Amino acid sequence: MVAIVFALAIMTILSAGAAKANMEEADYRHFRKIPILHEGRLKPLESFAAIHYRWFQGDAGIQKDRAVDWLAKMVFEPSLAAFLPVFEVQNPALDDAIFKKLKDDDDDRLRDDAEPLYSMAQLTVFFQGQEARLNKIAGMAQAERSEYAQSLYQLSEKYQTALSISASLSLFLPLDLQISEMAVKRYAPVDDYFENAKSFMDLSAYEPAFREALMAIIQDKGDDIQSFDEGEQSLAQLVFSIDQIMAGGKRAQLFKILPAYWEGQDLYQKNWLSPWGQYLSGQGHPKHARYLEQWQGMIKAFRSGDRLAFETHSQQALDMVLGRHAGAQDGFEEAQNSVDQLAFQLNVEILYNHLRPTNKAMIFYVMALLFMAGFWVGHPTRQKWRYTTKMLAWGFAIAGGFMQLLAIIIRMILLARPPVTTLYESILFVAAIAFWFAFFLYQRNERDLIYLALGSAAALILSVISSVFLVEQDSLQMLVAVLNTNFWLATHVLIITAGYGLCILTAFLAHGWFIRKIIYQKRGLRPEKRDPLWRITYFMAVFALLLTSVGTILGGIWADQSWGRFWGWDPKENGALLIVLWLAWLIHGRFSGAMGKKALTAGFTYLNVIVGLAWFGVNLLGVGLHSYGFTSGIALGLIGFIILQTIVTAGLWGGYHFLETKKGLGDQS
Amino acid sequence: MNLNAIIIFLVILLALLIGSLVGLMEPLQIRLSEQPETQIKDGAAYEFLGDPMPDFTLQNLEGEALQASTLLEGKGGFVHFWASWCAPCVVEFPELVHYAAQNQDQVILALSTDFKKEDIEQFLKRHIQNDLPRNFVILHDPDGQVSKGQFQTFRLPETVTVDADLNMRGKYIGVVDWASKQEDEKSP
Repeated sequence: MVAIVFALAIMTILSAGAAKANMEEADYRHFRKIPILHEGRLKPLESFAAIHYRWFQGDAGIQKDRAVDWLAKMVFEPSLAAFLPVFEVQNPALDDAIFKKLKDDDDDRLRDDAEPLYSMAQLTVFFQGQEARLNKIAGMAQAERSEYAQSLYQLSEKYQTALSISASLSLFLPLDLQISEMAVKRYAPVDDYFENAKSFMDLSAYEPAFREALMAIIQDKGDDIQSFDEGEQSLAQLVFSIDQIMAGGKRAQLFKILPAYWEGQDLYQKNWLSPWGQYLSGQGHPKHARYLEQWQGMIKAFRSGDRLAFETHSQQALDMVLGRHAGAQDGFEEAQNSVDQLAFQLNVEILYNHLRPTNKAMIFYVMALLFMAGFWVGHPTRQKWRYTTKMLAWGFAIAGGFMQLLAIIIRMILLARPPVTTLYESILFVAAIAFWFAFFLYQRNERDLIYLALGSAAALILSVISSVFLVEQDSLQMLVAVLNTNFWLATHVLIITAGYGLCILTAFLAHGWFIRKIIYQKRGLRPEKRDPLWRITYFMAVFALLLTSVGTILGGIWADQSWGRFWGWDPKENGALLIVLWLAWLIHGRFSGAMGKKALTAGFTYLNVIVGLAWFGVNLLGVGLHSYGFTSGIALGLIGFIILQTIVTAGLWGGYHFLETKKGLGDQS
Repeated sequence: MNLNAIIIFLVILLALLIGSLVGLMEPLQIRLSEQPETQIKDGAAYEFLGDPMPDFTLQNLEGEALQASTLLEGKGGFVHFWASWCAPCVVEFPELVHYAAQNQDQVILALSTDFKKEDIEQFLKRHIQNDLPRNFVILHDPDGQVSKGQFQTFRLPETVTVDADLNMRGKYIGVVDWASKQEDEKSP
């Protein structure tokens, strides 16, 4: 694996100098905004850092500031960053294997028994000698891999990505290449070589001369380095090191910070380049020269701990790439629009990253639920307590709902598309639908807190589920081409996901109905005559049936346009149909009088499972035309949820049935 | 649930749909292309209405300092980056000289990154039989301040097209077939 050789090179060759002081959060305020093209989208460096940092650490809750600091160390000071503990290993057997390998290694720098995360340096030692095994695993289908092999493969993917990031700016980093004076005297085309050749970029000027000299030696003496004299050996070593850095550079393509200016003026219409990509592809542009000067300034400032200079250079770099320097965009109105749009989007994304509206929504929902619990626990005669807790619960619930909406709106602005295009976004949207419909029911039904509580609980649980999807990927993902139509995204997808939202709310209302009935039974209270909660649950189910039916039919029309057929018994289509049939069955059961309230409501509680299967379950099958939605790794969670929901539904139905039979206070359904 | 509530539900949904449709009718941003960049884009040509060419002053082989803008203004032409050690340049350079001789209305500035002038002179002696045309100017850029520093050219040969107003109009990476180019320009 070339990567391992390169990793060793990073730690040895690029080790000249050392950072004198750590930057502080404020020093990154411009750096974090600098745009980068990653996964098809221009985003601020902060997002790029956070996506990778939390992927490596397997933790979605990591602070952005830590991620930005880590990225800065990785690109400006890779020889030190190589020793930062970053990689999480979940598989115990793999964890043991790494631990054992490191124990056998003599290097004290690689030993830290207390640290649960591994560093790039540690993984470099571990991966040495495993190239054949990794190649074999790479050639296997995922289903054929053992759990250990899969974990090993995933870890190597993370490791290689980290290597690529760490080599991003190796063109400009100070080199510690050893070459003897004798070799310089003989082969360097200038006398002041040692003063000039500080980085790979500097060295590249002398590289042709060195390479030519080495070729001449090889022609004369053959390629056995033992037959070379000291100066020739030194030259060969230097050329080898240059080749190593070049090999690493060819792999360092992730850090696409340079707009390909030769491809036009619109920042959104062109490919972007990494510094190595620009160097190797020949797409250098005079604008790159000025921009990269600022990056070199950042390198110098970071490594010398000059915080002011770092901030100045990062600000100038940001201004330059956004065309804010004088005369940069004269005469290019279209380009100016694209630059303004990019600047706006970067600021909005930074706001989104820092505000973390989905997290805030979760906190607010929890607070709302706590105050609601306080309201119900309080004695009915304590009016002030009940008023205060109710108001606070209302306030926090609203705040949670607004945060959820804000998250959806910001994402629409950033991605310039309707709110639902990925699985993650569908969860956010369903949570918002469930909450706001529940809020509406609360306002319309004598401000009965049960609606707000059930809506908040549904939104909270969905928000928690959504956070699972944040660890391994950028939540702000670009669309695959098949989904590239605003019309259908805004009609079929919104209607079907709104239908999911109402199904979930119906299920929660059904749970609430059972719980309320059980409490009434236990307290010996007479049931309400009108039973509004049940009527609303039933109405919601009918409304959910309407939306899911219309959504499914619209999906068929879209499929007809895209794939040439209305219906193909695709798992996703079948999933949507399953919801429709489940609701239709229950509602017809009620119409025909074959189902009582209890059975019907128990069926509504089970809507959670039906929606779960249609929403997530079919994606696990990995077959069908909806391949853009395939997921993995949630099968166990889904099975656990189905078992739990089955127990809960059976428990609620059984509990209510038992009390009803015992006390004889049931409804006349 | 009364009729009012149903209407309000539907209105909310309709508003959501209309909002999405009306507000987002702009073309969608789909994935920006991310081409692999590792290979040299030999022969790749980029043409567009570009930025002003960075001005520079370098010495010719006689040691005379010449300013690029003075040479190119009003005529336009090419800024060509090459070196005597660059193998493809051996093929391209004589063709470029021939092109210059045939197109006297254009100016070609050939920037060599050779460390020594002698290397350039030796190259010319070996590969160019006649005198260089007057519109073909060799400039010496031994430390790469202009070639690498200002123009970011690393994969020789490279050529930047400049118009009479000193705006960059495009770039060729690698060897250009100057004979065909001349034919193209002659054809109506």
